[in-house]
Parts: sequence; structure tokens; C-alpha cells
Amino acid sequence: MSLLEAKNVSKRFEGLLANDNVTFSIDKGEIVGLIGPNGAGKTTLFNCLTGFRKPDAGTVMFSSNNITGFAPERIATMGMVRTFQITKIFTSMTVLDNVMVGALMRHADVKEALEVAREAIGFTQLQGRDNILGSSLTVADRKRVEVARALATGPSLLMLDEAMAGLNPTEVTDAIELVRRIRDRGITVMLVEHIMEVIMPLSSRVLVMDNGALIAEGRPDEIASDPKVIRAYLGENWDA
Amino acid sequence: MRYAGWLKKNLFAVVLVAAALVDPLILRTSFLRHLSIMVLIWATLGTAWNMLVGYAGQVSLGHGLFFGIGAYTTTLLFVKIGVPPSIGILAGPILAATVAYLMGLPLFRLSGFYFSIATIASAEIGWILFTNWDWAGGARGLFVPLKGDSLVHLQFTTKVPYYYLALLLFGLSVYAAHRLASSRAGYYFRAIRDDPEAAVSLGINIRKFKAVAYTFSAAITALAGGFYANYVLYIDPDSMMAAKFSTQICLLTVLGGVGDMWGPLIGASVLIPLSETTRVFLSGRGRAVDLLVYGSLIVAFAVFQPKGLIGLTRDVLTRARRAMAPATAAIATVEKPPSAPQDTGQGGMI
Amino acid sequence: MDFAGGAQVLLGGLLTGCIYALVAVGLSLIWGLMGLINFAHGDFLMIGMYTSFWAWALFRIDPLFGLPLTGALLFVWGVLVYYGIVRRVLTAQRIAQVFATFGLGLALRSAAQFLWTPNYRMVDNPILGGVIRVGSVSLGKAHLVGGLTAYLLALGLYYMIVKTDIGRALSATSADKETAELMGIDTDKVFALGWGLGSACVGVGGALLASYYYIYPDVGLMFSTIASTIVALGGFGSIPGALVAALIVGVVQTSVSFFLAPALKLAMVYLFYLIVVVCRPQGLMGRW
Repeated sequence: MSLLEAKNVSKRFEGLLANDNVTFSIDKGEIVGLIGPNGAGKTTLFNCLTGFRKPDAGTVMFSSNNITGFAPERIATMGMVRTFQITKIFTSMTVLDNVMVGALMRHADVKEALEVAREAIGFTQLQGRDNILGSSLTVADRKRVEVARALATGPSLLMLDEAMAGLNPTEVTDAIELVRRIRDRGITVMLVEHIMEVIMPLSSRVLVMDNGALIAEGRPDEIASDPKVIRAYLGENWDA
Repeated sequence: MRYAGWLKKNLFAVVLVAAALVDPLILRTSFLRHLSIMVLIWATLGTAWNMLVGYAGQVSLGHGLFFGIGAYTTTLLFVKIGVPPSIGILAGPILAATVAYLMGLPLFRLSGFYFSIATIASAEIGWILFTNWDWAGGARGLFVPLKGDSLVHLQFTTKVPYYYLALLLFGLSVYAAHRLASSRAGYYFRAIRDDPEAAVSLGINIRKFKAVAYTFSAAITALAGGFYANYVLYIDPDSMMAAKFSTQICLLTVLGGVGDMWGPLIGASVLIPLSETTRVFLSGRGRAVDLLVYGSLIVAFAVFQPKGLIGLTRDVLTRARRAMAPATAAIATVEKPPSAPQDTGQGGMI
Repeated sequence: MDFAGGAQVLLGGLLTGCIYALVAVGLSLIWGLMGLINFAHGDFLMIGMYTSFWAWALFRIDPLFGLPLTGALLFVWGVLVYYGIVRRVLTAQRIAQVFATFGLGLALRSAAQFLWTPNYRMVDNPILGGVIRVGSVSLGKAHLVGGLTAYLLALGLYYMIVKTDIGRALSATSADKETAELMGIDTDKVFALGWGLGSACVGVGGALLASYYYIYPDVGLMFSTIASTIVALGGFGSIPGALVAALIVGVVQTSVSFFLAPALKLAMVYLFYLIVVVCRPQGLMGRW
């Protein structure tokens, strides 16, 4: 039984077919990567899945529930939580308070939520930075806070939108480690990424998009040698 | 020794509370005590109004509606059915909260100016309805039957008990604001204000929580209305639901500092004595000299030292407030003054 | 309900809407220019009404002939208010702006009450007195002329904004002040012009009303509220929206007054606003 199922999801933007009949599914425990050249429609698909946009056609099923067209906050409470490409942390609030906002989703009691928040902070290795204001954080830390915040909501599916962009190689390695530990906790992960060095080692399965359509799907090694994928990325250098 | 440390940190707050408690002993004339009571009532109204602006980031210019609901509910229950005001005063907030929640859910779809005008429209509808509702006194209003000194009826023959009740009312409003700020809703309000999209991604139903802020705000406003009715012993649509009433709540809070826990008290302490004094001493000839002076002073305030007088008052008082910092820091952080956007919808009025 | 009754209500409503349009257009213009809501707008109307009244009472100038005079006076008044008050608070915080126009309105109403007492005034035997009959529909002459003139003026203003250089300067400044300045537009003068025009509009509205409406110090308040509602209903930033919304409001008001109860007419207008705006949060023709 798949955790997330997209069937024929299509979305048009001002005449452009951003998503064209996209169909795929994600099972519990997977780390699924979504890659594709710029303009392939990855972010649009992401938004359609998480409720930030309504698909023009097709269905999205989450835990066997049809969530097509649901409000994004409702989808979040059902267990599918996303992060943002350009970090959206609460700049006037401290790290702890940021994560608290996440923790409060399933723990209305502030004291309980504090514990959950602290645990998430520890898990993402932000301990000691509880009281730093969001506006004073580095990019890498902001991304960590977003992840901690999302984790504090107790999701079953974590959707990471280009979470590694802007990180230096050391930070990327740490991030990869973190995603693995998240999966080990029992949380399914779907990540949109540009950086091959991240997707290939991490993902159990990779989806490739180009021009709005899903052009390939499979294990990382299969994808790396798929001529369709190589053609789509013509001009881009990466190591298989 | 530990108490000495606590005392030093919260000295200003302690002094303030002490001063508030002995106020009627220092101010002994009826007029000065009346001023104190009015300042407290308006400070309560401002605190309630502040909840909406500070927490939900939207400006209501029609809060008089809830004040009127409170006053009318209490009085009508008493006059028509005989429910003593000490009990009836609780009905107002419940009714006002319901109205606010039902109004808020659809209205929070609106941004800035549209929302503000919607609140004006609602208040006007309320005013028109009550002015034409003869059973409720219509335009002539209703007199509250005199019961002498009676706690059950929330009536007294001297001002002193009223003062302490008003103080209690104000204390309650501050306490409610504080509790709301430190609850889950408080975190959510800050999140919504900082980044609504991120808030949504964490499961926050923005409209619902704004409606919550509106509900609390309306309930406290109505409570003040119920108290006021039993203080002045006469209610009519003009003195509580008219636009001037709603605008004054907004004005004094803004003068004192929006999004600041003590802003309403400060604003009320400046504006109310000003308006009441000009009213009492200058309006005798019925030729609105008092309002002329009051209005001109407001314009002068704004024009001649736009940053100056308003900013000046605020700077002086901000320094005073900073002395009370620890006590209010937790509360003040929830209510960040909204920036002054020109074209964005959120909280665009102020 | 017969045809004549319906036509009466519709026409009467449209005419009332025309007057509202003139008032709302001025408010919308000022708002569009500098994002400022003039809380004293209705009180400028009141000044227009009193100007007309006193011109008649003291110099026997009929409000109709006094129109240009009132318009000119209010134009000057608007410019003075801009230079004297508004300009100084443009760079201040919003609170100062709110205070400034709110206080001004209050001061104006009080001054009027102080100078001229709260007594209701009326112009007797205006040139535009009496009614015109078209078939079985009767309309007050003043109402008819007033409405038509108001709408023509409002349209004229809109035409000016769209077609003339000065108007385009207004538009440009309204859309993007910084760029307008870079293009050499003296935005300060444009703002003053905007205030002058907006005030003149509403002043003329007052002069038109003076032929048949009661004149008293607080008369502007109601118009202020209705004008603000109309501007919002039409959509902030859209003058055509304000013009359309004004007509609709006029018709709604008259219909309710005729079919339900006169006392509720405004309540229904406000309710109408609430319903429309909940369904269409940006107003009928709003910018966003």
C-alpha cells in the first residue's frame, strides 16, 4: 500500500503545461528523489502534491485518502509536511519558538510541545542554539531549523524542496546524514534536488521530470545510464 | 534576598500597580475619580482592540459594535427580564464572542482596507438596527433602574467601588492578553505574522486563528460595555456604537503604541483626560468648542511634530516601559508593531 | 409593483448614486495617489454645502450658479490642506496620517457647529426646486440635475486622468511615485493637484446637494462612510470601480427604502458590501 500516490496530475500555468499527466507512487520507508532540468515542473508538482496549488486534473492520494484539492494546512495535519526552497523560517522568533510552531500541531499543550521541540532540535543538531533569533541564523542553520520544525509536527512523509541548495560540501554531507537518520526514524522522504551528488547516494528510487512529464523512474544506477535522462540533461556535467 | 532582586527587576511594574491601587485615595474629587475610571475602561478597550491588531494583524474600525452588544445585553437582561447585572454582564461577552467568530471566519479572507471597511460596515449595521429597535430603546436609549449601592447590580453611589471594578476589568484584559500570547495561539499568531505560507505548511488554519483573536477581542470589549452601562446608567446607540466611538479606541491605542501591552493604558492616560477635560470645561455652551480644541490638538500633534510629539511621548514612555521590560518582554514579543505598508493588504491602515 | 414605480426607484437610485460617485471619485483619487484615506472627506462635502448655503443666504447666489465658486473654493481649500497638513505627515508614520485627517474632520465639524450652530439649514426656492414629470415618473429637479452633473464631472475627471498629460502625471505618480519622480514629474505638485481635485469634486457634490438636502455640521459623516464603502466595493485603486459601485449603491439604497423600510436603507447598503466583498475579496474591479 503506497503512502503517496499521484495519478495523472496535470497543471497549466498561463498556457504552459507545467505538469503533464504525472503518475507515480511512493511507499512507506522510501527516500524518493525528484530530479529534472530547470523548468521541468518539479516545484509545481511539489505544490500540487502538498496542496499549495490545485491540480487542473488528476488525483493525489495520501494514506489511501483522496487529498486532491485539500487546503495545504489540512494536508499538513494529515502528515505530509514540506519545507521550502528559499527558507521560510519565522525571523522574529527564536530557534526554539520556530520549532515549537511545528510541535504545537500535535501537542496543543505548550509544555508537551516544548519537549517535542527540544527533541527535534537535538535530532537536527541545533542544540545550544535555542535562543538565537531566526534572523541571525546562517543559511545552513536556517535549513536545519526548517527541517527540525517540520519533524516536530510528527509527519509520516517529509517533502524537502531543494533543501541542499546553497550549502557547502561539508554541510551537504551533514545534510545527507540527517536525511538518512530521518528515514531511519520511520519517516518517508521525498526530495526535489538539483545536486546529483545528493540524490544518487540517498535515494532508493529516482523520478525524472522534463518539460512537465515524468520521463524516467527507477533505481539511481538505472537512471544514471538511461539515455532519455542523459538527453534531458544534455549540457550538464555530472558524475554517474 | 531573592525578593530584593525580583523587586528591582520589576520595580516599575510594582510602583504602577501600587499607584493604581491607591489612586482613589490620592485623587479625591469626583471628576478626577471619573477620569481614572474612564481611563481604565478605555485602556481595557484598547487592550482588547490591540489583540486583533497585534495578533491577527488586522485593523478593526468597528469595535463599538461589541461594546454596544455588551452594554445592551446586560441592560436588556436586567430591564426586561430582571437578571441582575452581576450575572448579566457575562452574557455580553458570550454573545459578542459568537458574533465575532461568525463574522471573522468569512471576513478574514479580506485584506487590510477591505477588512477595516467591513468592520465599519458591521458597526454601522449594528447602530442602525439598535437605533430603530424600539423595544431596545431605539434612538432614545435605555435608562438603567437605580438600585443604590448594590454589588449584585454592579451599582454604587460613590465612584470608589466603580474604580476598583474598572481596575479589575483592566487587569483581566491584560491577563487575558497575556494568557493568549503564551498559549499555542500566541505562537501561531507570531508565525502567521512572520510568514503566513510557512505557517500554513505547519498545519495552521490562518482564518480560524485570526477569528480566535477576534473572539477574545470582542468578548473583552463587550465585558467593558457591560460594566460601562452600569456605571453611567444610561445606554444609547450613539454613545457606544457610533463611528466616533470605534475610532477613538483605535486612536488611543495607536497613540500609545500598537502591539505594545501597555500602549492602550498610556494612550488612554493621555487622550481621555484631554477629551474629558475639554468636554467638561468647554462644551458648556453646546457649541462644540471642546471638540474643536480636541480635534485641533490632534491635528497639531500629528502635524507639527509627527515624529516628535507622538514619537516623543512614545520615546519617553518606551524608556519607562523598558524599565518594566522583564515583565512585559514575553508578552510584547507576540505583538510586534506592524510595519507601515502602503500597498500590501495586511494591516494596511496603520 | 408597476413599471412606473420601478422606474422611479431605479432612476432615483441612479441619481443618488451619481452624487455618491462624485464624492467617491475624490476619495479614490486621493487614496490612489498617496495611499492615504482622507477621514475628513465627508466634511469637505459639508464645507461645500455650507459655502453654497451662505452664498445663497447672504448674496442670493443660487447654489446652481454658485457651483463654480464652490468648486474653486474647495479646490483651493484642498491644496491648502495638502500643503498645510497632509504634506507634513506623508513621511510620518501611518498613525500621524490617521490622526491628521481624523482630527481635521473633527475640527471642521466642530468649527461648523461653533460658527453656524447645529441647526438644520435648507435653501428655500432654489432654481432647481420642484419636480419634473416624465410620464408617471416624477423626479426632483435638483436631484436630476445634481445627479447628471455629478456623473458628468466624475466622468470628466476620469477622462482627464486617462487622456491628458496632467492626468497621466496623476496616474503615474499613483502607480509608482519613485519612477514618476525619476521621469521628472514634480510629485509634490501632483499630490497637491490631487488633493485640490478631490476636494473640488466633493465640494461640488456638496453644492449640488445644497439645492435639496438638509445642511448641518455632521452631514458629512454619513457621506464619508458611504464613500469609503463605495471605494472599497469598487475595489481600491480603481476609479471606474468606484463609479460603478456608486451607482449600484444608489440603486440598492433607494430600492430598500422603497420596498422595505427607509430606516434600513443604509444597513442594506452595508450588508450588500459585506456580501460582495466576502465573495470577491478584491472588490468589484479591484487592483488586487
